[in-house]
Amino acid sequence: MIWTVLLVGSLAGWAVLDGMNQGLGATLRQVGRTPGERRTVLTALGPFLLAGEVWLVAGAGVLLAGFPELEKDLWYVAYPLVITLLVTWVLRDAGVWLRSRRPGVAWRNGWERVIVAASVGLPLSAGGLLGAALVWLPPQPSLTARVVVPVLTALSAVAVTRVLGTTFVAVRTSAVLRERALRLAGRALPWSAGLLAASAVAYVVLVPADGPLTAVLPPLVVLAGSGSALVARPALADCRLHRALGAVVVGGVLPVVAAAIALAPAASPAPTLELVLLACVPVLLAAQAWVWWTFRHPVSSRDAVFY
Amino acid sequence: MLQPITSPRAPHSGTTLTGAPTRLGDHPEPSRIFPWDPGRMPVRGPSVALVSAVDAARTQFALLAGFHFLFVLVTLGLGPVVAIFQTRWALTRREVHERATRFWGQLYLVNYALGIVAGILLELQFGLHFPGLLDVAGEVFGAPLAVETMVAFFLESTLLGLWVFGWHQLNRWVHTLVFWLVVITGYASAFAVMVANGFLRHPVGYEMVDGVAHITDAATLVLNPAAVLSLGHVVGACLLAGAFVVVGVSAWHLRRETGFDELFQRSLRTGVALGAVGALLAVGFGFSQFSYVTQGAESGQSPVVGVALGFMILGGFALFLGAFPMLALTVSGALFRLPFRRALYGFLTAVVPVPFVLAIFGWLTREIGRQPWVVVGLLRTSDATSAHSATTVLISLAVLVGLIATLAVIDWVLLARLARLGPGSPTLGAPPWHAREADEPLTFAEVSR
Repeated sequence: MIWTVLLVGSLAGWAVLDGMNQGLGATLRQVGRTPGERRTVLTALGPFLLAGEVWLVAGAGVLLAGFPELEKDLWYVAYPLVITLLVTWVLRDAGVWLRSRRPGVAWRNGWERVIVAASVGLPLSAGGLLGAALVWLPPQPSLTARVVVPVLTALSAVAVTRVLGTTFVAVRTSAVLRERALRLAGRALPWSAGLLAASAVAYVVLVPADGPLTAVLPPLVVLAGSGSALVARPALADCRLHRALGAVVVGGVLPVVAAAIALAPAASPAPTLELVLLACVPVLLAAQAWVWWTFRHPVSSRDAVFY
Repeated sequence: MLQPITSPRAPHSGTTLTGAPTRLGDHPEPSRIFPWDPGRMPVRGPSVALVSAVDAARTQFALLAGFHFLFVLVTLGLGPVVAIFQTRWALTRREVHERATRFWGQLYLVNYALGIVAGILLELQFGLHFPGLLDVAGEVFGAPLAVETMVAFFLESTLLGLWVFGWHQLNRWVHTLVFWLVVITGYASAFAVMVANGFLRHPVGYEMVDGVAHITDAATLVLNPAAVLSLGHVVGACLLAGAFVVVGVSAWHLRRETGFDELFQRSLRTGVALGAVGALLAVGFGFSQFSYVTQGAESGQSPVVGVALGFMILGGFALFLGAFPMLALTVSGALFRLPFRRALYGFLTAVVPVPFVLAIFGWLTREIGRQPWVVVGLLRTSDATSAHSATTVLISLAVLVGLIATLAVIDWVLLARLARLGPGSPTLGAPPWHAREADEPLTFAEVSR
């Protein structure tokens, strides 16, 4: 049970916290139209890049130690997706770290395009991998299910991260950047709600029902997407940003939790290790909370510019 | 939902040294959606390909780990230098210490960027290419890696972000403490990785039940001499690498008289002291490792191991012997008044790659010396490798290694550029309107409150 909580917690944490970074990266050149505006958006990202991606590093560690069977099987069937996830992750990070390390218009533009492309590719491959886990392990007989479900979950992930990222940028910036981010968030909201609903419907239609959970989980995903959009939309319009951020975070977490429950991976027994890791969780959350609290304001002259 | 089905994948159905059959996996047979992969063949006959899948998987792991290692050496070696200068800055509030912190800190960060991305690639390699390792020893081998990724690295990275971007917001003592925590969690990471690697070399603290290793004695696993003694050796190597970078860059600036004499003389002295400690640790703990390496039968020693080990021992001695005159020369700054100091500065810059080459030799000795085993006496590498075809693994090798090699070269060029630019105006810790480029006006009021 502890293993499952650790795995779902780290994956859901990554999905929303790094999801914000992915959405920010994907919209970098739309929110920021000049080099200075883009540098400001990257400054808004600043401390959250490392604080977001560590959740997936942690999740992969939990997978390795707690769920070696699942990791082995999923990596085997979805090998190209895993490689794509790695490549896009590396490129996103490289783009953010290297973009401002030397002057030059071509250098900057080049790395910005890398950031945008990789920040779309990363949720695309991560969402696809989650969908693949649902319908390739155990293998669904219908080829339609095996293609449609991962494609829809991949697209959902792109839309959800876009909503998360633009809402996050709106919270962390001001003036013209905030206006543009809000506009993009409003436009992406129906897409994320619609694609999540489509994924859930496709799963219900194409995958034979298996126990009571499958009757509960897809409606939960639909509810998560639509409910968060219904709350976030007016909040974005009234510029109640923290309310909007809360709504889209809940809307991002629930589908990941639902998918994890549907997978119900069997953990390897390692009682001592589980307890050691669980005991460390408060410290980890405290460190993360320290970062969120310190950088909760829109960027200003108090913030350090590095990326 | 999950039903036991025997996997037809040949590599997993081997037997261990103890004769216990490895577990066949109580999972449904995974399906493949990509028909171009011929890796689903139930039995791999003698391969006619130029490279076998096992070799391709090992080469991929070796190259990725090698790149990761080169960056980790600098992260762990430069970390204490930055922490020492920041502590001096917090104590004295002198500008020279602030500049040194920012200059070395910036090099630390640009190096860290590649360390982390190479590490990301490495973390998934075990599941991608060595699933047999997870079958047999996943619980034991995975435990230290889970502690590393979930605790040590998680804290290290989270706090590093706080350090970089909280530069103008945190109290100076808290800010200094945050960096010391980054350094400490970095070393904790290294220890966790050495516990995992030590188990492969010298498996202890476990028992085999139905072909699967379970931890029986966590203390023995953690205090494994193959982990503890190796950690001492690796820490020595890291300090040496950091020291050579600091000394080499400082000597370059002193030779060219770039106008930061005090900063670089202080850095050079710190580097020499650190290097002396590193040489002592690397050589001392290096020889101590023969205590467990010679235990138990080693089979199939590759000649590469002998050559790499020989060069490493020779190089280690040279560094060890060189440390004493260098230490003596730093007493009351004699080094900076020597008549032939410019030649010495040039030499010190030229030898920066030496500890890196030696570290790679050491790593080759460690990893090739373990072959043909992935876990000595327990699991052969060929039995641990996935059933992917050689072509599949070669494609991912080309993609991942090509990517990381390209990024590594870009990063080294940038590091060299930043090192040459010197501590005049590092981006790290600058006020926002100094950190940006001239054509990048930021979209917030650029005046301090």
